[in-house]
Amino acid sequence: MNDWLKQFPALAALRFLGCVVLAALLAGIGGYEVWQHWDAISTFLLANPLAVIASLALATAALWRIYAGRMSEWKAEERDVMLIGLILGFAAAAGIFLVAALQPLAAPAARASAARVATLWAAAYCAVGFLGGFLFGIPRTLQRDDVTDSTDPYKQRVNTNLEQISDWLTKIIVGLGLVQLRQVPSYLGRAAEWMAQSFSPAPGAQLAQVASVSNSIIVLYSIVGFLAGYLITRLYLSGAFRRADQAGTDSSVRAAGGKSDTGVSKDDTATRLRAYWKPDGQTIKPENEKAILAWMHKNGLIGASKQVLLPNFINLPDFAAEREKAVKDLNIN
Amino acid sequence: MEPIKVKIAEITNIEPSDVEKAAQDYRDVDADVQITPQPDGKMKLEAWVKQGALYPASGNYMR
Repeated sequence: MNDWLKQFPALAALRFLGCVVLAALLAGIGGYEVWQHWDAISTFLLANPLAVIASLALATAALWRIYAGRMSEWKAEERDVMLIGLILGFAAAAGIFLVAALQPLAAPAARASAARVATLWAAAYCAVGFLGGFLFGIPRTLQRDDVTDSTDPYKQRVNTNLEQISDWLTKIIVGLGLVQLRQVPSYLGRAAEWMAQSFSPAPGAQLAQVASVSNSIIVLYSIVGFLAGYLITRLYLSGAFRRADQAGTDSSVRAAGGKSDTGVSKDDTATRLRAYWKPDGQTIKPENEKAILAWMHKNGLIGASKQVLLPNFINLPDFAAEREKAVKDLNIN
Repeated sequence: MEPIKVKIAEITNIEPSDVEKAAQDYRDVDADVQITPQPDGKMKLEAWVKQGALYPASGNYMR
């Protein structure tokens, strides 16, 4: 479908324009308040749940059609995050029923604002759930804490304060949650009643009715937010933290040409270069060192983008071909 | 204040008989070397130099 769209750029532009118009309508830009028609929309949604489910299924099928082919090119973690995001997105979108159910219970003058307030509450509970999921999912960084070892060279350590806070908080939350488990429904009810008052219930509507819809919003969006926070942290952010923490170290090692998983070189060129650098096996001969460094400069091993260190040049298997050339160019026997 | 050091080598799977010779090469350019045994009996070598370190013999700078 995307290839098809690429052949007709006007349709792709139309799709983009459609998204912009939809966003503008929802935001009320241009004086057109889509929320004012929410009464009719909510009545339709509540009266036709099958139509809504069918629409969601169609939307899923359309997205699948667009992305299924492309997904094979994605990295596994990107695919996981997208799939989970899609499922959670649909779960959050299903919450539109709750907003719709709330609408008729609000006073007529406050119906448009009730929908907005409900959306804000939903977003807030989603964010709280996400924070909880993040705290439960945040990865631990394994590192040595002792700093008294004087032979240990300078190292930057990752700041793990947030991890420690997450450790305490999650244990406190689970512990207190278990102790107060019997009180949870009562707390939830009080929170829902407090929330219900912000929807300006209609004179005939019972506060309990609005509170039960509010309760559903709290439960649904907290759980969706928690799952989103936990899964995104575990599946994506863990890798992002690792990449960020190692970036500095890895880049300096790579720039110095000092990364190897296959040990050190034992070939003849390494032995001859080392003998040329340190003729007696212990003391560096300065003019020979200068000659090797000059050769490395001339042959691009030392320059603006990389600074291969001489011991790396001699010891690492990656530089075997360059060493052979250096031995030849410098006439090392 | 302790000078900032940058890591310039991380070599794994070194045969134990080869590690000391390689480590000496790094020490000769004033690098700090740390050798750690791996669970499989081989060795890991890590080296750090001061930022802007000098090759002691030739006087060339390693940026």
